[in-house]
This record gives sequence, C-alpha cells and structure tokens, in this order.
Amino acid sequence: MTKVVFYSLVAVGLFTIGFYTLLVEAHLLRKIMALNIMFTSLFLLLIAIAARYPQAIDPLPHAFVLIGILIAVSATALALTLARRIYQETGQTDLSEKQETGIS
Amino acid sequence: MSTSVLRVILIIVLLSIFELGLAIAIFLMPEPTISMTELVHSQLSETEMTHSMTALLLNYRSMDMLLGLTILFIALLSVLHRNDTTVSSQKPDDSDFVLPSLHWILMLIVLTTGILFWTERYLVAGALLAGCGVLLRFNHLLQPQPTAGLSLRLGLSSGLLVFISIALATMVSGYHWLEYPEDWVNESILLISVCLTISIGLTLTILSFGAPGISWHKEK
Repeated sequence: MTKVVFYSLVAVGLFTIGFYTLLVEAHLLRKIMALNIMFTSLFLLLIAIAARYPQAIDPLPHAFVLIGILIAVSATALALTLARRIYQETGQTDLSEKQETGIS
Repeated sequence: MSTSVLRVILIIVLLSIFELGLAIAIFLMPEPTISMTELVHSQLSETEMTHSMTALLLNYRSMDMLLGLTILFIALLSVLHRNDTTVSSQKPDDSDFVLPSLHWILMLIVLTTGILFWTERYLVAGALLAGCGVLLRFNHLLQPQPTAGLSLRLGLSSGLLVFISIALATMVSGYHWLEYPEDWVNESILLISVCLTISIGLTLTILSFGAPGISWHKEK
C-alpha cells in the first residue's frame, strides 16, 4: 500500500469517527470537537493527494489547506459563540429534546 | 433493547457502510494526469514573489483567499455583536498564565513577525500576531471590552476592504477581476498582504477572546 493510499484511508477513518461522534454525542462541545476532527481529516486527505507525484510535490492543495484551516477556525469560532449563547439562554450544554424554551 | 441503543447500532452500521464506500473510492482513484508544479514554479518570476505558497494564495488563487476572508469576517460578526453585559466585569484570574520574562518573548515575537513579513509568509505572521494577542491577554495587558472602538473596527475591516477595493479597481480600469496590472503587481500584493496580516491577527484575537472589544490594561 503506497503512502498516498495509507494516509487517505486514515483520513477516511478519521472522518467517520468524527461523523459518528457528531451524531451520537449530546454535549455541544463534543459535537464541535467532532466537527474539528472532520475538518482535519479532510486536510489530511488533501495533503495525501498532493504527494501523488514522486518527483515534485503539488503545491496547489497546500494552499487550499491553508485557506481551509482559516475556514475551520471561523466555523469553530461561530459554533462556540452559538454554544455559549445557548448556555446563556437555557443553562444546558446539550441539545436534548425534552425542554422547549421560549426563545423568540 | 432501548431505542437509544438501537439507534446507536443503526448509526454504527450505516457509518460502516459509508466508510467502506469511501475506502473503495480511495482505491479506485484514477492516476493523476495534470501536474501543476512546473507551471506554478515557472510562472513564479512573473508574480515577482519569492515564496510559491504566498504567490499561490494572493495571485493565482486570490479569489479563494478573498472568499476565505469573507467567511472569517462573517464569523467575526457573530462575536462583535454579542449583547453580553458580563464582559466588562470579567476580572483577571490569578491562576492565569503570567510570565515573568514577558518582554523577551515579546521581542522574539516582534523579530519573528518581521522575518515572516520579509520572507512573504503573511498568513503565518497574522496567526503569530493573534497568538501574541492571546499571550498579552493572559498577562493582563489586554482587556476585553463590551464594545469595539473605531480603530479596532478599522483594523478588523481593513483586510477585506483593501482586497475588495483593489479587485474593483482592477475591474473598473479594464482588467479582469483581481488581475493585477503589470507594473503594479508588487505594490498591490504588498498593500493587500499588509492589511491582510493586520486584519487576520486582530480577527483571530477577537475570536479567541470572545468579547467584542479590546483595550490596553487599565487600572481599575
């Protein structure tokens, strides 16, 4: 198995683990961390694809990963702000279906 | 079995099928046909830059950088308009990370930022400035404020504003969108990247603080 295939499979595994945690865990912070793991797995996939040329490494996916890191930071910041607001309004840190609060 | 355990088992089964499908797709990946490396490196002298990554980000793929900046700005809006009245009463915690030899580290940070600027690694310089902001916060030199002042807002929006205005200027004067004119390539990229670094540094600092404004240390 070549390097590229190995790292791509690791990226796929990480993505699935992050996806599973996003679906199953109830705590908001864990969902946000799972989202971050999914982002990181995509960056790993991009970098693995960039190494497909043995002579010269493709620099284009590296630039995409840099911009992607910027986007991942923005998404995490927005998600954390929303989670903090949810905690402020309802006092709970998970999205449970039991309580319906009257947030207008 | 309770419904939650059944739900978890169903999720695990479906996700295993999904992962298997993705793994098969990895093995069925076709061989690469186009190689961008020689093209990027051969056109590097035309962009008058020495670092290929920055040339990629600010010249070949400047539209992607512009869109990424916009996304960063939208995330910033959510923090800037927080209606939280507890921000100004955040007392600095005594267990915060206070360094005894802060001035040496600040000198090193200034030196490294200068070196990163000189070798055209602007994004990294912006991220380093944001880390410096968080460091100052932990040493009680920067305080969070409930509102953002004018100079802070100018600094935050300067990156996006300068980028978009240069793009509009190139479009208005007959070139394509974001196609820098031949003799002004160096100057326009430098202008964009300086404002970009300041903007990204300030934006990431505000995102890390969680508060809409910053001020230097005031005696309470």
